[in-house]
Amino acid sequence: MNNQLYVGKAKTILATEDQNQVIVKFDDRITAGDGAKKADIGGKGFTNCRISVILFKILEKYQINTHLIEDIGDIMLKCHKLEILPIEVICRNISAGSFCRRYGVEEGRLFDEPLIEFFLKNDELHDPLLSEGSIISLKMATKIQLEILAAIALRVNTVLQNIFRQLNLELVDFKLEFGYNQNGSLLLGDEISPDSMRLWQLNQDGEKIIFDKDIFRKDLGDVLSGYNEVLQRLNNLEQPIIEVKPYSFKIDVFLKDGVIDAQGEVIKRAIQRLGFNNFEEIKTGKSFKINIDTINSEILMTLEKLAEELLANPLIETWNISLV
Amino acid sequence: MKIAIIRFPGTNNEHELIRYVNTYSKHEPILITNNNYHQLDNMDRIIIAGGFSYGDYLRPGIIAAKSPIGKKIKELSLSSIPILGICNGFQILCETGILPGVLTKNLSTRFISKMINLKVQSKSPYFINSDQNNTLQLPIAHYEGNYYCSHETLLELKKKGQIAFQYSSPTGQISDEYNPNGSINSIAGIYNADKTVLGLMPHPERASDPLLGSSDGRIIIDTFLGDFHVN
Repeated sequence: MNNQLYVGKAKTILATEDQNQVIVKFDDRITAGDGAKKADIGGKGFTNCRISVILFKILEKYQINTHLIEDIGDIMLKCHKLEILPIEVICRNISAGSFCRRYGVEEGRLFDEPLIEFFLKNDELHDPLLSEGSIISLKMATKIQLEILAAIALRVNTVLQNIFRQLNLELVDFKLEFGYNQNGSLLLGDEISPDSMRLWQLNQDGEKIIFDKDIFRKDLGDVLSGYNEVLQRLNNLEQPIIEVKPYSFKIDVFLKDGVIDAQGEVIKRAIQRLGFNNFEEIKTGKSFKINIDTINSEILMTLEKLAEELLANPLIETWNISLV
Repeated sequence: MKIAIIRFPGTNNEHELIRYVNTYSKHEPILITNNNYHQLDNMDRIIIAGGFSYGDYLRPGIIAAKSPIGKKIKELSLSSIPILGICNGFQILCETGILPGVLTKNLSTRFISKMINLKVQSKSPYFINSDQNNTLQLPIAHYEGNYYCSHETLLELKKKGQIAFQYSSPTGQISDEYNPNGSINSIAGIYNADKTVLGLMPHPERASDPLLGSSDGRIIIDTFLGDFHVN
């Protein structure tokens, strides 16, 4: 077909008449080890497409903006055309996969808090782990942009974890990809399916049943029947009401260097009276926490304007925005 | 003339000003609040009274500056209507951007309430135009009256004669010794470039009678009300 824009490992992107929209076609191909292991599994594309639609629609209810425009049935979704970020966002609740190999730990360790990791989307380099510092140095994203990606991923995690627990499945980890549409809106892209997540059923007797791509990676049996089971349970889902935390931005305001901080000087003297003499300088500041329900493309600009025009006096103060 | 006296929630000097206008002039003082600020269009003079507008939350004057009245005053300042901002009123004028700079915490971190001396640095037909008064005695009462601006702004203020008053000795000498709060260049009050707007930290309305310790405040306010005549 000549309207193919891109052929990926498990999906094909087709052009539409509208240059801002594409058709995402879910293929039957399945790969592992950065494409080293391949197979065609008839029906896998259908199952993953159906699972993705269900999950995207659930996520939209929790103000997570996805690239889905319309479900056109079977193996195809009409989606916003995205400029995909080269960063894969991984969220882990339980240790598994590359995490265990990298740090030499056993699978199945339950984390106190979900862990967010970033990886470079590059098969040739085997999708290496990215530190926050290297992402910023390589100008792939700013610190606050990364914090936003992490915050969205954590909200996705809260929703999916709840959903799968309803289905007696434990969400071990998952991968998200993000991109910007033509309006500059940050949208969740790609797919959300057992190809991009680990799902375990943990039985009372300690038995662990795997429902994700590890069945294929580790030759544990019929991968499609695992995926179909996930779809079937999702089809019978009674949707729970899930409490999601608002996105909590923090704006710190400090006096600029060179502006005398009279309060800081008084506090410094009090500290010296306590016997600590090696503090060079104490700077006082203000901190504002701003909770919002949804992250749209204007949010950073809005917060910057807020900081510049209201919360800080730029003549004497500096400000910094972060997400907590 | 109609004299607007602005009261924000937390303003506490409006009564002195209303009483002042009623006692010492034939003009009509009109209290302006968030409820009737549209009347500002019909005023001949605007006075922003001192106090603690909006509890001094965030920074003194900032919330008032961003309020509908603050925006209205900014709009009117461009039409050359004379505006006087006293103490918190000065802080508000700075936060609206009508006047340059900002007022920060006193260097001593103490609230200062006392009589001080001012040197008249530059005159304006709307605020002080007598040649006989080179120094004034007025009270101050503030915690954040430490005027700060950039070096470039300070040069500009000097060049354009926008520095109205400086803290000084009784004879008009300027030095750190007479600077109560750490203000840059001992600045106590400044004009806008057209000299139609004055913001100052001292309280002229509290120095209207010798019984109050000084009546020098009348020189400023009576000039502002168009009633000052050299005897």
